[in-house]
Amino acid sequence: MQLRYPYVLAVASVVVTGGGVVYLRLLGERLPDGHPLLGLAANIILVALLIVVARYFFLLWFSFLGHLEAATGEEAERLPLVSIIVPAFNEAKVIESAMRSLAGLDYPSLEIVVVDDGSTDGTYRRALVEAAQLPGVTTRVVTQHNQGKAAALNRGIAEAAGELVLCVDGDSVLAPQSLRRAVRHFADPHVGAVAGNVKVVNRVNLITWLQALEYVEGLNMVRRAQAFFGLVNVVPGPLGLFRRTAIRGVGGYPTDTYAEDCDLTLSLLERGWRLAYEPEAVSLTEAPERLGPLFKQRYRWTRGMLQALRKRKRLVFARGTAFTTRLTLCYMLVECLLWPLANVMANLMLLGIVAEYGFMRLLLLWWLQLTLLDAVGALFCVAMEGEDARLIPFAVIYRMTYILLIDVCKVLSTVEEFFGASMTWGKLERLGRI
Amino acid sequence: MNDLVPVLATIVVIATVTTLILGLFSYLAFRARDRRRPAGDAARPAARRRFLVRLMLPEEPAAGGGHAS
Repeated sequence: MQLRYPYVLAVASVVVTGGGVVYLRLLGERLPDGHPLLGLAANIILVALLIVVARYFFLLWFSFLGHLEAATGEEAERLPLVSIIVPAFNEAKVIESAMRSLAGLDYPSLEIVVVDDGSTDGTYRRALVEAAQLPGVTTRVVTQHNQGKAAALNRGIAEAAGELVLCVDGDSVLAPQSLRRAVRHFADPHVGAVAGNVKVVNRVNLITWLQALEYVEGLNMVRRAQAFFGLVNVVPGPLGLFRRTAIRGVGGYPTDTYAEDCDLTLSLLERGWRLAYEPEAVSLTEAPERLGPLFKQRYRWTRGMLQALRKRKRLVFARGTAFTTRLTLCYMLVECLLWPLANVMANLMLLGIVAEYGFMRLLLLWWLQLTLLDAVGALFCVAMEGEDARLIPFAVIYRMTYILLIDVCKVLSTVEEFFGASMTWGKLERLGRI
Repeated sequence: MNDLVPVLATIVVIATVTTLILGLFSYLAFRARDRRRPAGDAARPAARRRFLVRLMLPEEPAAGGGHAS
């Protein structure tokens, strides 16, 4: 389904702001008298909702402006050599299809560097065989003892000869036009990296459909808005294109956190590089199909981001820190720490009100308003990206179930990070859906 | 419409409670499974204990077949 997104945006903005106003009015009229605590709780909810509405409003507008800017950009005049780095640890099920998709990119000068990180499932051998069969593309396969993804990426970057370095995951499958579209951003000498558009490929059950919606609405819309300011805060692992001098200038991928992509991105922002987003640089990725692996993934993301933020806490208050860096760090702190906590607390508070006063209308209105926002956001993002319209109905249960589940996981992961609980990488098992 | 509100509200309440409980227990189950696994280093080939050890006879030539590295 192709919708005209400018009209959708206009409708969306009206609905978002209008919905907020209607909600406030409804709430004021329906509150029972004689319960001061209930009034206080309602006011807290109102303030939270106003913040949510404002957040959506700004995200919609700035992502629209970011989209306009990206859509009007011209093709790259110069197409420099690009080195594609593929870190692989036990990716035997997917490494061949990933290499084939990379070799099939519509780009004239590229080399592929596969770094086997001590796999035990035959990844190295499969990559070697596949490399010999790829026509017309310089492909190297190197192996090392298992040292982690960041170290594998750094090994690849050290081997890279290209002016630009494309870092992908071992299971990433890229759309053919991805590289050509992403490279054009480097015509601006201040751009240090370009984030790609990651999409869920295995939409096979409720959990994966909800993740697909999350990637489109929750991650890509935010990245689009951030890109308008050149402040993308995570260049994602499945598709990140870097200027080699920029990535080497910050010492490559950090190896002391569990979210190496976020950590590297923050280092680039600290150095003053602009970070762009290219919606047409598409990487298909496998999403976890069960709750356990999904929690494992989010646990690592949450703790990794918090670790990256903790490394930079002095920057928030230090003199001389650029305003943009300070802004990005504060934004990430809110998104990563305060937002999930506020969502879980709000739901607990509303349940408390239901239990104490039997006043269920407040919870219903809270859910209705958030669902309205999500539906509008989903409609806008689906229209803008030309995505599958079947994603939109999932917005009805997205907030009430999926986001709440993820936020519970985030809050508990944050508690563990705060107390310094030990953790491991938590490698996800590939399902071979790509 | 007024009849619909309590029904919808009840659905939302049940869904919220169920989600919170599901989230909590899923998290605890995931962490329990994670803790039962060997530590990260044990998953690495270099640190893994060999189940079979190749024995070399004295007269067998030391140079073996090609081993890619």
